[in-house]
Amino acid sequence: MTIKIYGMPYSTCTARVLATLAEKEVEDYELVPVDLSVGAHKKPEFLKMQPFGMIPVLQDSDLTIYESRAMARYISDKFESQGTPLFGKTAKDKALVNQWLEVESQNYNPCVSSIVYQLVFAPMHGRQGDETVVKQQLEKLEKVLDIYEAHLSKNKYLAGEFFSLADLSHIPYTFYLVNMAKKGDGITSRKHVSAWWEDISSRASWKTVTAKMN
Amino acid sequence: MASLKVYGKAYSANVTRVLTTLAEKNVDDYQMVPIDLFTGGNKTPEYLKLQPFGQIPAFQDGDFTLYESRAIARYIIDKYEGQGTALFGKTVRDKALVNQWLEVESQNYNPCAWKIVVLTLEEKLQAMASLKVYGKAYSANVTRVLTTLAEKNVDDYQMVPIDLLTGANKTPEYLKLQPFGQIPAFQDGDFTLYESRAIARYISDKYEGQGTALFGKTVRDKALVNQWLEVESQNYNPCVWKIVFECVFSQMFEGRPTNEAVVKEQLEKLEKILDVYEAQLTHHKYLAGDLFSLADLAHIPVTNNLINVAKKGELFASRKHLNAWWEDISSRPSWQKVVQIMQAEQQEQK
Repeated sequence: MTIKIYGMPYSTCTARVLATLAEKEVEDYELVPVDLSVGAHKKPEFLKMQPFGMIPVLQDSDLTIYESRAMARYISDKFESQGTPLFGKTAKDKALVNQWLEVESQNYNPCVSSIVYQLVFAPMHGRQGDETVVKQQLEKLEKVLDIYEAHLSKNKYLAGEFFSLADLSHIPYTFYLVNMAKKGDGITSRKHVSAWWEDISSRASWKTVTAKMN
Repeated sequence: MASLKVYGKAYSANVTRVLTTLAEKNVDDYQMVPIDLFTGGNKTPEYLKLQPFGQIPAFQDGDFTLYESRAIARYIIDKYEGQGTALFGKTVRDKALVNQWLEVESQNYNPCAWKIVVLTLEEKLQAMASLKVYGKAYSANVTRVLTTLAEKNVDDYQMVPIDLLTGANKTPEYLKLQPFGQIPAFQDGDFTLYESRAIARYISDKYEGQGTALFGKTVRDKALVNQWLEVESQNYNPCVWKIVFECVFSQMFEGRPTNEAVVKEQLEKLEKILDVYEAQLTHHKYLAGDLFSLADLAHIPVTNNLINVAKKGELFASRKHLNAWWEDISSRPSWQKVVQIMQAEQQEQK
């Protein structure tokens, strides 16, 4: 087993990597738990692997990679010939996948992760969530989702007619937004965004990840 | 006021056929009324009243309207028969031969020559306009793309100004290209792309065979480049952007002074992040290893804003290896070229 993933199944960013492994039909890896509650991610041994002190981290023999989106790209490259083609088929497909990966990164995720942090993770660590921040971010998210709705009314998936890493990258935080933070109205009230969400969150790959969360 | 009017633009061969005839007949006293095909001036109801086929030129002598350049030429020649060059010779025979060769030009020569000209122009326009970058060089996201083009030795692109300060990013036409109303947007022929980091990746892929190799050589190299691209995206940029925005743009874009508390908080975060960079760059010349990559490039524009615009250079000057890395990457010819583009743009605004 050459691949090790250091992380926790309930972590959104770890889940992004586990879902990618599942889409690429990679079962031969080890999930090494990192106990955040005892600050394992801030200890010197961990910081040697991930100097920013965050999970997840990937090790493949002597290669160590962190940042979940970079890890997902590495898995897509290494296992290119098996599982779902996560970057489409042509150069244009790939460019559009990259575009929507950036949209997720720059426009979607900052809003959604902020809401999820305030309503789910802060309370988990004994802190009160900030309602003002939640309200502001939900307003921002509404505008972003209007754009997604228009786009998904003409395209089955974000980069076109094929499922890609761009769609996958949205799943973990959206799952938390809808199911744990209970702020999924923006998603479910929009016909095409809702259909897209139903579709991508019902994929077998995501089901294997949520099974690990319990 | 000139009683003779020529409607059209001198880039049109049909219009200049008329202008040349006027010149041969020593007629200066006429007015050119611009009708530009590129702005659809030939399709307005007022113009279609003059020339129902929507073509240029059209011609007026007082309230008499005429079109078709060869017919206009004949009219001018008749009206000004007593002056300038005799354009139909002297005899009935001469005139017959002139008419014959006018028809040869009309039926044989012109259709052929015109097709050649159009096809060549189309090719040239295609090549010229194949790559377009929409935005302004004051934007770090735009210069991220321009620097990538320069590193890959790609000069043949057009910048289409989209100025946030005039709201050009909110027009329906622009929102068709970039629905989030942000700059840059990018076109390669009829393929549109946005998000500067995605555009940079596309350029790196398309021009893989030329310029600097921006993703290293091996799968490992590429993985490390992608890792540091994410570090820039998720850790470095959000922090630096908040500082730059507060220090430089809060008044311009939100009509309020700098929020010093936000700046202090973000600077504390940034100090910790830069400590990690310093440690990495102590052991490696560049972020992903020994070779310059897109990961280093992605940092350049926003770091320029942090150091040179927000004046937070001390953060770098106090870290030996980080500072050396910044000196190195910001001296690259690609960035120097973009700095010149930024300066030229600033001059234009004055």
